Amino acid sequence: MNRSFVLLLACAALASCSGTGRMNYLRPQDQEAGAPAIRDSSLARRLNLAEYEKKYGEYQGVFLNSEQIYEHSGGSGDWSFNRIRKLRYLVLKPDADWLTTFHVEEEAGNKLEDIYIHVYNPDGTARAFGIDDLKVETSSDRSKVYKFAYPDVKKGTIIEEAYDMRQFTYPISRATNHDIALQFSVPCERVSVEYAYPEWWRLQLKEVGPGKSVPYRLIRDPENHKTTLFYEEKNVPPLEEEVYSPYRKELGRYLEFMVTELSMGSGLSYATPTDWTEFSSEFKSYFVDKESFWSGKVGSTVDDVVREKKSDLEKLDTIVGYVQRNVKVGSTMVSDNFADVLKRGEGNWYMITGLTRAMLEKAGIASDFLLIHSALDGALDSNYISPEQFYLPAVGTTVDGRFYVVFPWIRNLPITHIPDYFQGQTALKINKEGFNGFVQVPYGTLADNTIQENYDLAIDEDGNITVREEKLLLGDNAFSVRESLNEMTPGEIDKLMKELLTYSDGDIKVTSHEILNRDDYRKPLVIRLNYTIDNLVTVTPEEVIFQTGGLFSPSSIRKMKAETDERKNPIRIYAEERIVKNITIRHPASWKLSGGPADVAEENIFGSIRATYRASAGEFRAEQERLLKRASEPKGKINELMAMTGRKSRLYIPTLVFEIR
Amino acid sequence: MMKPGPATPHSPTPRPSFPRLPFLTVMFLLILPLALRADEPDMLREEETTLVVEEGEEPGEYTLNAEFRISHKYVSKRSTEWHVFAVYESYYETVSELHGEWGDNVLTRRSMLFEHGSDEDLFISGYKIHRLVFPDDLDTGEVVTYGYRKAYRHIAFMPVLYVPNYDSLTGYKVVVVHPNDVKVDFEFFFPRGALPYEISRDDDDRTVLTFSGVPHTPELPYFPFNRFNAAIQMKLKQKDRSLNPTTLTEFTNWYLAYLDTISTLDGKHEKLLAEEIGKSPTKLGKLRAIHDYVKKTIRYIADEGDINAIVPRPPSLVLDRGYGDCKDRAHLVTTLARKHGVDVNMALVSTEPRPLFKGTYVTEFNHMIYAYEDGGKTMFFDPTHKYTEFGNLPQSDIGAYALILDPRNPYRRTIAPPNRTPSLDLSIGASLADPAGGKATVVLRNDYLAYVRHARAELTGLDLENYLSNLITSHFQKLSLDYFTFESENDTTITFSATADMHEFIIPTAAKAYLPQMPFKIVDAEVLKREEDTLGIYHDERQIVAVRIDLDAAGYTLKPDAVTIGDGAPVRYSASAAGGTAGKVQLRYEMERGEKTMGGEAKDKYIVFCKEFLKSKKNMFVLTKE
Repeated sequence: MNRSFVLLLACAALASCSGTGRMNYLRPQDQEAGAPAIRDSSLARRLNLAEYEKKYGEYQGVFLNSEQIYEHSGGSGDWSFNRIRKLRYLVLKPDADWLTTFHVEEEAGNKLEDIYIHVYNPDGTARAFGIDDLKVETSSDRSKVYKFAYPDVKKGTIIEEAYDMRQFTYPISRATNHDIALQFSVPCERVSVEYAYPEWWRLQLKEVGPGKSVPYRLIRDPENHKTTLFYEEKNVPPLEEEVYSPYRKELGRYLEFMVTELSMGSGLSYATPTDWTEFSSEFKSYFVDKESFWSGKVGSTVDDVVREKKSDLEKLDTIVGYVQRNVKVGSTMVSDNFADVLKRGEGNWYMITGLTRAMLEKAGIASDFLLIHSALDGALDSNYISPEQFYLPAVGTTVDGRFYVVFPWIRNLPITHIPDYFQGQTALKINKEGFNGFVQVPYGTLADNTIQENYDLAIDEDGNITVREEKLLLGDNAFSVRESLNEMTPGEIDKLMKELLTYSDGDIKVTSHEILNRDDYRKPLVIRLNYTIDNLVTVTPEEVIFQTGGLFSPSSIRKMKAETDERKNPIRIYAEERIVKNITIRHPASWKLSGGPADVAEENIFGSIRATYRASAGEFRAEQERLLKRASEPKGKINELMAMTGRKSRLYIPTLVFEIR
Repeated sequence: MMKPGPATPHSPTPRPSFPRLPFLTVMFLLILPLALRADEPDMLREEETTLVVEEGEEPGEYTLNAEFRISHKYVSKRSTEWHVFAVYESYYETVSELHGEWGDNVLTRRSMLFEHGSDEDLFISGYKIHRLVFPDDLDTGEVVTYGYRKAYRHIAFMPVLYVPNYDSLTGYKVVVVHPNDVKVDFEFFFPRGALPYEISRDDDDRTVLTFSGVPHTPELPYFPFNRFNAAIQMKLKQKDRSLNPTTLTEFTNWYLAYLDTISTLDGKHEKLLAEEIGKSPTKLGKLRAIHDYVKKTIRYIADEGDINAIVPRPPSLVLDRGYGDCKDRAHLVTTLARKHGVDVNMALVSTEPRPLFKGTYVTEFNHMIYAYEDGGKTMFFDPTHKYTEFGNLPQSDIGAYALILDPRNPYRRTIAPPNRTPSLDLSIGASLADPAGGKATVVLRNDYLAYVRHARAELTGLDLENYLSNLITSHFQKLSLDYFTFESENDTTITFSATADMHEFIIPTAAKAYLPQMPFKIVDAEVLKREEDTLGIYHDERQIVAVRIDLDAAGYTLKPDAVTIGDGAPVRYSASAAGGTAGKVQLRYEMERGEKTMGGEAKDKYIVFCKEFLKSKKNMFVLTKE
């Protein structure tokens, strides 16, 4: 607040701080509105389509020029923030709807001020369209969607769409925090971004990697008191979506920046925090210092909840579980304190987190209010003091030497489980004194990300199979299945049980199923299924053929090929995972396994697969395990990953053959 | 706000998603919110609809307005999470006076939202969704009530009403208020058997239909009418005159009157295709030239705003724009064909099962094609499906109950399949000595031809490879095809070569080799759940697949064998193994399920087939080492 006030005084002292005129428009100001005339209709005819097809034939189109111009103008009382978007592209596959139609949303508060569309056809003709040609759909929140379907689009058509959208500037963060994608799903020959702002403002760009900035230049216009941040890049490759890839902002180009100091005339000024201490103090006042002076509700609740609990770990688990079950995520009023949240059973996720921290403190467990950076938001820039980097709350505490990061606003999430996009990331700590430094969020353990499956099969003389199947789920798997179960009717659960069956080929009759530890999320979720199959075993006078029907499966959900030479992205595996199968097949003693499978032991940089097989009189035992490690590797290693996860895994055994003695 | 790009630009899907061919934007299913389908009652629902028919300003003209009132009582805790209720507003109606109450409270305007409908296949959807947002902390025992009015554009849009299949529907009442000289008749479609109802005509100007205590019926697999227990059509008559068109003639006349308001081809397009059409001596040849032109040059974009949800745009406008939906295309073909002396009629179809009555109704249809009479035989053509060859039809059309809009004599026909050729025709050459090194020739026809043409137009490289592999091997349990290479293409087929990995298919032992008799994934055991009921079974596609395997089995002796299940009506499967010369063995597999819907005796036979097929999956052809 003080900084803002100082800034306000400083600006008031400068005559030039009163405002700036607008420099950028979609078209000359003396031109009439509506569909503008086309100056050169031969744009598409002159383009060498064959060359473009040869170069970009695998894509639906090519962006020839992508421009975005943002501009702040005006002054006290008439601050304008406009975004001009110009996109020119070549259509290579006219069936691609997203390239042959126009769709722009005017959010409530924004205003579409101008628009034109030009369609250039390969025969040298061209057509122009304006706002009157667009269809408008208005919703109850006053947002609008403008739509237009381009006529007569063919392969080789060039489309130019341009519009000017006045942006709503409340809350102010909408006009001061920007995250602009610089890479698209198709190639782009030129991309540019311009951000024009009053020269007395200050901007800061986020580094997109350690010491790695997006190249830009500042163009100063003293006459008009404007500064423009200018970014340009040519021949930008498309952003590809592939399995086992890093998250988009870890992979793709983007420009993220914020206005750190802002003033629009004498009526409005604003400055962002200059360090994490200042940043933390606001969170502290809103979400840490929120204990009621008058109410003892938080303390009495803690006393009730942890009365029987002896250890700190029990208390932590109990308090977090209590909040998860009894306080739902919803709205919070500024005047609310923690006692209010407890009483109403509702609060926003920051208040729920702050409440939990306060409850732990009352239980004698020191903890911090955490704000965690997510891998989904790309690299962390520790000098970029912005809530855009830290906005996800959690509580961090050390109990018995182990650092726990817990999420009291996520129902049924065990205290040991951390979503993978948080693992290994940086968290900012806030306590009653304010900023308390940074801490690294721990990685998950294999124990939290394991699926264990146990099978006991009995095959009789006629080839009928009775199966007892047990699945033990932990971590993410257990959490998501529990969440689904909570939403289901008994009939839907029956259906789910059948979907969970390992066998994919047989005629299966489920005789019973049970779910253990469904509500006790501290324990593994156990699903037991009993069923019979009568069409997987072929009995001949001499031999028995057991078609295993997916029992010895590749232990992978990935069924796609992934050729090394076509891989575009580096490889990223965020969390370790383990799948274990223990299989016992009991069969008539007169059957003897013929040429049974060989043991497997393979290992590479991505993990390992292991299998041991043992046959004895009337019994065959198998233990299979696939372990996937956390990894960050170049794309050239994809074949090694596929050796662990691909559809032709060595763990797969389609058939077992028995001789009849 | 930036042009976003496709959601998943390069992720292959099992099949490219085709336009769903909207003719009418509001499907009857949209009217029914998703029921909770619990075994125990979650909610008690009660509905009352009042339809008011009044004389209009012009003599003989009538107006239609309606008032809907629905109440829900929460029985289970789980059901209290359902606190947002949707009201759909279609192009033919205007919704007003939305309101909601619970206890002593009423919904404020801020809790009544609306947005325009969005659908993957509709660029402009033409319908709105209103949402009534009740508090999310309601408890069991509480009752929410909401209602609204609808003013219909024309009495022809008299809605077909649905008695929903909720876990517990305590009451369902329809009141029709009408002039004294108007009579209301009801016709019912009961998907699972008749429900008791009462019709009261105590007053001359009021007819009341009541259902009470409609029980929830459990969801059935392969059954298209799980969401309602009755559909109700109302026919209004003043003496012998129908107020709303329900007979084929009434409906056709009413619909074609809209077309009279549309301009025909303008001078600019007068001579379009004249040269190509002139070259063809036959009417069918002329039609083909027109059909292929429209199919290839008019992009599929559906703008279903206002009455264009059901009425096509002028042909010249469609040609100028180069885009249109199914009815725009069908109408364009019809216009061009008639201009060149080929008499074709537009035909309305539903690509999904809909309630059927003696007559018809506006929302019965969701797609438009066209029909041509040739020697007393009605042929159907669908110019919307860009990748389906002239003379063939997509699966979605086959079996549909079409209404041919012949102004002289409108009539209905069930659309028969244009051919019974295998959609997937696979030939494999392999050797017992090298089972993983097989070579395959894949010939695709019908929908598979269309799918792959579409995929080739949109996908490349690994995405196309994965798409083809998934499309074809999804039918088999033990065959794996990879490395597809395009070989040839003609009007009705496309051919690829591929590698065939047979190492799972061929099961070698010390003395023998086994080959499965049923390597297909074509029968779902869920079908057997339908054994006890008397209702029809519905599949969304027919299935005709043929596989031939030439196996080099040198050193082995085959025990020739053959198996046939079913007689072709409605389904047939055959597999045979025969020995050739010099250790060659030939395996043939053929599967044909020629119908999508099977009821009565056909259903019984189909169930028997499925049982026998599943049971026989362990059967093998046997080769013995010499």
